[in-house]
Amino acid sequence: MNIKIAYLYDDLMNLYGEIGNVNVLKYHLDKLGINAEVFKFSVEDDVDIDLYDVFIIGSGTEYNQDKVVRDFIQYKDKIKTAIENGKVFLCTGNSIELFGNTITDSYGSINKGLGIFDFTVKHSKQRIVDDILFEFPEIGKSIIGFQNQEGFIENYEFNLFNVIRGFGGNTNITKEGIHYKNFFGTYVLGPILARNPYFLEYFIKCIIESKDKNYQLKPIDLELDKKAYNNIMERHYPKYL
Amino acid sequence: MFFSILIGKFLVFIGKILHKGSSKPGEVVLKMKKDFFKNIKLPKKVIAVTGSSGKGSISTMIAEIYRKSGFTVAHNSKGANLNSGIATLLLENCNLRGKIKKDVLVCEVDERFAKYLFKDIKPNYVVITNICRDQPPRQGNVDIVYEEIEKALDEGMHLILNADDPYLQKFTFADFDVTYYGMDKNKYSYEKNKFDSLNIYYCPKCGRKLKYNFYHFETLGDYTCENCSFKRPKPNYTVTDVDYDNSIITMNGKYKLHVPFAILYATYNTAAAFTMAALDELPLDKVVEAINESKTNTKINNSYMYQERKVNVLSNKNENSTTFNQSILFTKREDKERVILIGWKEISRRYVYYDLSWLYDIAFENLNDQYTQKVYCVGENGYDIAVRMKYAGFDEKKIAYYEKLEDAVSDLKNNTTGDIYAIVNFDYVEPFNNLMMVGDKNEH
Repeated sequence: MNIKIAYLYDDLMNLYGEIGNVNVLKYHLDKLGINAEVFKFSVEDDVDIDLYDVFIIGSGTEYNQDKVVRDFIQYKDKIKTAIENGKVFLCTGNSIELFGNTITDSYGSINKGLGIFDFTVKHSKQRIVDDILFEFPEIGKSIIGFQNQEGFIENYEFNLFNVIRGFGGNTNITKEGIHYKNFFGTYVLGPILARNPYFLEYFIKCIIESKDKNYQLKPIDLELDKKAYNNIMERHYPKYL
Repeated sequence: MFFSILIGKFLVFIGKILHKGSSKPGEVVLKMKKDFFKNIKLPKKVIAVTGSSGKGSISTMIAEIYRKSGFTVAHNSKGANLNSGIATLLLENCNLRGKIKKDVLVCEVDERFAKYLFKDIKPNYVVITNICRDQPPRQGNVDIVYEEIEKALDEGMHLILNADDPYLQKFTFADFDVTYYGMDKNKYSYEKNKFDSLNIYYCPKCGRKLKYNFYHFETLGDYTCENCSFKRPKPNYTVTDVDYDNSIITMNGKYKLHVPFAILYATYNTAAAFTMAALDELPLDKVVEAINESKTNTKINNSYMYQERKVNVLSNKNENSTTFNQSILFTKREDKERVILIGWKEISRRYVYYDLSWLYDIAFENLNDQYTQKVYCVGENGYDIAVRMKYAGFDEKKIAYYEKLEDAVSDLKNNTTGDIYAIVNFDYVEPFNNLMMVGDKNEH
């Protein structure tokens, strides 16, 4: 099996170690005997969206996000088709905002988003900063990570995670993130896959199934990752382990 | 004002008796007298040093240089760099009418507080060291820090900037007098970028991708935009040669300066302090003398021998990938068998967050070569560090996890060979050094 990973805007949306997600996927796909290739694209490149199986975008400064959304919008239809066709997306931090209708920055100027999901984004100078503990209901496991954002999504029913600690949506504060087909978008920052081995396992299966539903997957070696995860859970959130 | 100063001075006096240097007197006086800063009569020379890192070292070196050159100097040498700390510094150095009794005021200023202080303190010279990823829960991100510093700047302030840093050039788009320091290409420079997830890849003027003739580190180097006129400015004061074996750098081809530790940021810090003094036309022989006698930084990083093995202790700041990347570049200098220890007591002493995303901004992959025999991942987050090493490509057999530093050091001493690199947060420097000394006092 060949898997092509597109790491989008790696030189602009890279504020919180998002490259970790890319490296972790590449590491495990290689170990599983799958030929995984990573391609980096940014504002000066032309991307043939159809060629890739997995898309990863991280978080950026507001200045960089602005630069990115103006470029990304040219791929609007292709990205929409890719999502509808079950291609896998992982969007962390403020990259989730790119997929809504508009982004209004803290000075009031408005940028158009891709309009794939029906929401608007507002930025304010009051940042939301906290450790998060969410539950991923698909596997009944907790997600650990961090939020540090100046934007929030208005009027959208989040559905990816259940909020235990941290900031959810403003329509329903008990939920966070967007899960649609194989699109995963969350304000959780950075290397979410590296820190959450159960989610990583689920995510890898998603990628494989998106290519071949009958593929016989070998076990994924996450022993060390699970020790690290359990250690954090025992120290900080023993009730939720 | 008189009354506020009297109270403030009394609190400074009490603090001295109790041996408690703190920013409390300033805090109290600022509450009593909101326009305290406005009413202070400042000396003719006010020098501020701000930016993400290096403020303490550079401002200390500048203060030492001015003293050596015959000036009296007020300096917040203990690093109390917020409003209250600066107010305390002024209280310590003013008379009851609010007049500063020193020739020069040298302030290390927190990058988020410059905007409050500069409007009244009005420094003649502002050294902006760098803006790097640092404490995101507190700082947000680099662009926010840039905006905060920019708000503080005003006409009449003369900026001292690193020419090798493209990000800092954003400050020059407004009409300031700027003096640059920088470093020529040398044997430690390289041509292909070694780090991921950096702060600036595109021209801050026109937005096109920057090209590099060479790099010194991360985004520092000789950059140019092929689309517009933006390029590395020619430094007024240049590090023309580095001799890290003897910890000596040469400025402008003739001034030999001792650097406290043979690492890049010590070079830039020294160059910044030299540039400030040269710009102010201090006698350069005194400047060289002051720098060469400077005590700055010697406690931060150090090298010593442990039973024929060289030990390098590299102090880093958690939540600041740049400091770790710097240590990685240092570690890679020698192609010799080595073991590495990475760890910390706590992620932050300022707040209770457990964010570790910055671990993935650090290019640990560079250390995964034939020379690294083992990586000790130590402390409360030892497992998290170990996972990071796994994804940096280290064979899991080479990764050791220890919760306790003493257990890790004991294993490292007894079961490994080769040079030792401790790439640790600053809170592990002293404990590590102490453990290395146990049972081996003569060797240290």
